Amino acid sequence: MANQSTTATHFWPASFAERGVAVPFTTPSVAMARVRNGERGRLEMVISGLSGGRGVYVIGWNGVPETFKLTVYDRVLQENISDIETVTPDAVRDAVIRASVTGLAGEDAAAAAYAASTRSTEIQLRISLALTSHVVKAVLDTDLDLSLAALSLPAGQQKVQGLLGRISRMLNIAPDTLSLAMTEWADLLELVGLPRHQPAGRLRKIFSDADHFRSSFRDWMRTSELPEGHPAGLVTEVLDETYLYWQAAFDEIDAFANNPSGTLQNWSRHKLDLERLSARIPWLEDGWPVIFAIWENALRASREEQLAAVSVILSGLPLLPRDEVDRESHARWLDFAKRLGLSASRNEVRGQSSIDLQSMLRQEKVLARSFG
Amino acid sequence: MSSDSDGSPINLGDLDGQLFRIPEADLTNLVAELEKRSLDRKKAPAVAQVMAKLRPRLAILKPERQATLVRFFAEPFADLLYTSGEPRKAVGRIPRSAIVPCYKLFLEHAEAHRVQRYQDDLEEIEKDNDAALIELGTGFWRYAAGRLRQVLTDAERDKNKKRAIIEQLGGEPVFEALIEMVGVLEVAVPVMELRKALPSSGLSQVTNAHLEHICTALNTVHRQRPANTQFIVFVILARLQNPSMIVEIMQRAEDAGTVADVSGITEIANQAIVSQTEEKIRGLEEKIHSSTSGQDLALQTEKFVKDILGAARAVSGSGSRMQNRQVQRTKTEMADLVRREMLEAVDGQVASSLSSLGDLDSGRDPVAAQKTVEDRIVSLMITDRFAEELGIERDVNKRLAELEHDIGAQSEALLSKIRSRNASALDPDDAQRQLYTQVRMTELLLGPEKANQLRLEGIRLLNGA
Repeated sequence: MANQSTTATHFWPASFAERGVAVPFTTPSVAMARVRNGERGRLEMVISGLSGGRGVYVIGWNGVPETFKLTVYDRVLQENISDIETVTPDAVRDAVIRASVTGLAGEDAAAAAYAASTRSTEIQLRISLALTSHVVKAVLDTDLDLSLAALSLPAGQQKVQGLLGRISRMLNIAPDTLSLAMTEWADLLELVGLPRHQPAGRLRKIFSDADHFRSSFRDWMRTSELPEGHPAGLVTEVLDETYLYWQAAFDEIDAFANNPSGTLQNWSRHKLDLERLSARIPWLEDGWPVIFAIWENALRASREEQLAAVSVILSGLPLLPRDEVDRESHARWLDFAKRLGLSASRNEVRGQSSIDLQSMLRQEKVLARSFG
Repeated sequence: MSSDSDGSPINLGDLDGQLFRIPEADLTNLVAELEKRSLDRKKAPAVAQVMAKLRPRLAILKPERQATLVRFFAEPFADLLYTSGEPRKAVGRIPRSAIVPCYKLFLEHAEAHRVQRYQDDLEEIEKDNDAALIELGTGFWRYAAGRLRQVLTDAERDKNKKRAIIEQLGGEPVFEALIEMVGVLEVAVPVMELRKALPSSGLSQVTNAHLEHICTALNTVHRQRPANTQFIVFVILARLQNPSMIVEIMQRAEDAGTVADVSGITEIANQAIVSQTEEKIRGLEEKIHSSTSGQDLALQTEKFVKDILGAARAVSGSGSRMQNRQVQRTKTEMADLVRREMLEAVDGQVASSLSSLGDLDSGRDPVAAQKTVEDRIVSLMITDRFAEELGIERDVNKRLAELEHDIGAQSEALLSKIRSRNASALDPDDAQRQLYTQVRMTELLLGPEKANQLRLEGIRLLNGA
């Protein structure tokens, strides 16, 4: 194991790629670890607070099973991730789903993973219908009023084609071009959905989960008589700052839906913007679904377990990287990184020798919840 | 109640799932509505069930509750409240279900205009104005205690009256709860001051500052109403994470020069500990009948066993021989209960689930069968942690050994089938699914190393290496 640095700046990575992607391991000692492409592209695990020090530790990915005693699920997950060339949140999610459907992390995680992998087609269709309804309403001031079932019938399809034909003439876009643009736009919205339309999209749902998390975490801090100097407040401070960037990213995406005529008339240019934004949001949100799941589980637990959950959350609190935040806020993020380093050094040393059964089962519940 | 912040409706039939997503304003309204309904005796049990489900959120949120006089009435003995599914009570604890009938009894014997004035005054006080609340409480609690004490005195003088009151309240346990409520209300001000000084999250250690507040409360009550000192002890006991701490606290209070009768108080504390320990058995019985998870049950039992051991420690030094015997009897009862209801009662179901895991044609839902076996393994592993304390280690070990043997045999049989490469006997997808099931069971039972060996061996055979 190579301790590359013990400075606080390593709690504040320069880029998303350097920060890596959160891996929902079920082995408690590596529960909040991340994976990233290191120099020369090789995979590495990034983990903090390993020996009660203030540093972030970097371990070659292939050496992870020898360094830590892992659950069988984690071994399978480690193997799945080994096949990834370029680490992205989507690639890791796919590896997690494939590992989880085996049932090695329990039947609840298997069912959640299976549901996550199968519901995307229906969600895609629903979002496509929502987009069509939205565009029809905005451009033609007409209510589409069509169910998913009706859309699959010839009459429904004819109705949609007729309306798209009118839009095509009105916006002076070739029918095929319009049809392709609508398909591509709907595909890009699959994970983020349309504002004020159902389904919300997985990433927009995470965004709304943040509100629930913030309010319940604040309630808990207010009423739980925390000892002086307890670092729990850092969690909401970091989330508050992060939230602004999420909001800005969703606002940018939603701006295209707010002006459908303009978006469709310049689709080739706006498509690139939407691609960039929809690739950025998974990175912005990465790590938080697991934190929300940890907290959701801890809410019904004892105070001791809630305090332990806060320590786990702090050990994997995702800071937005330096290149992704405004220059004016650098001092604030650097302060977060320093406080996070301090909290890691105060955290209990992560045990590497044995796996506590109940902690493992708790992590499995977190995994099952984190699929969203 | 209509919606949460992202617009989806809240299903009150699924309170567990929605609990932490109900907006605070809606929750506050819901609680106010429930509290209003709980005054109706017929609706009270159903309301209590809903309130019990809301409690985890209320514990964190501590929302602004409606300033009702019934809530204010119960405030001094709030620490002693507990939820019980049956009409009974332990010494030093008050069932929540007793509040409304006792409060109604108070209303019957109170002057309506005076009660209305207290309610009006209460509504005018800002929620965080502790001084004003205590000032109002000083008058109200004394008045309520006075009226109810008169009822109790009359009842003690006249057996018929007593019988009528017991009937009106809904049973002997509620009458006993009333006696303790009145006892606390008579010394409500020092009780409230002590409650405010102690951490609400529970005491795992008693600092000198805590001890000072405890001594102040003991001394004040001893001077004002020596017979009510026990209620201070009940409040302290309710705040302790381990009841055995009470003996040391009383010792330290004596060393610190408390004027209260320490040996008398310790005796009362021991009575309460013994009674509350016996209550654990009833509580466990209730949980056994309502729980669907062996794992949760085992965890709950582990907590109860710790409490019983704490109680045994507390009474072993300062309790009477009878109290020691009572605690030992409770321990034996708990061992019998665990053996009978948590081990033997599910043996058959586990055996049939386990055998169906190795038999694809059993017709049973494999996921349900696997969950049953998993739950059994985990609950046995947890039970193993306290088995020695209850003297049931042989019962637990025997079952763990049987599971180890059966799962090992099933894994071997599966590997043989895969080795035989008879696709008609075992579809490769089914083989892989069964392999992961066996790996999972092995991991829970024997740890990840053995389980991973089984996985690697199975995968090697499936890949035809």
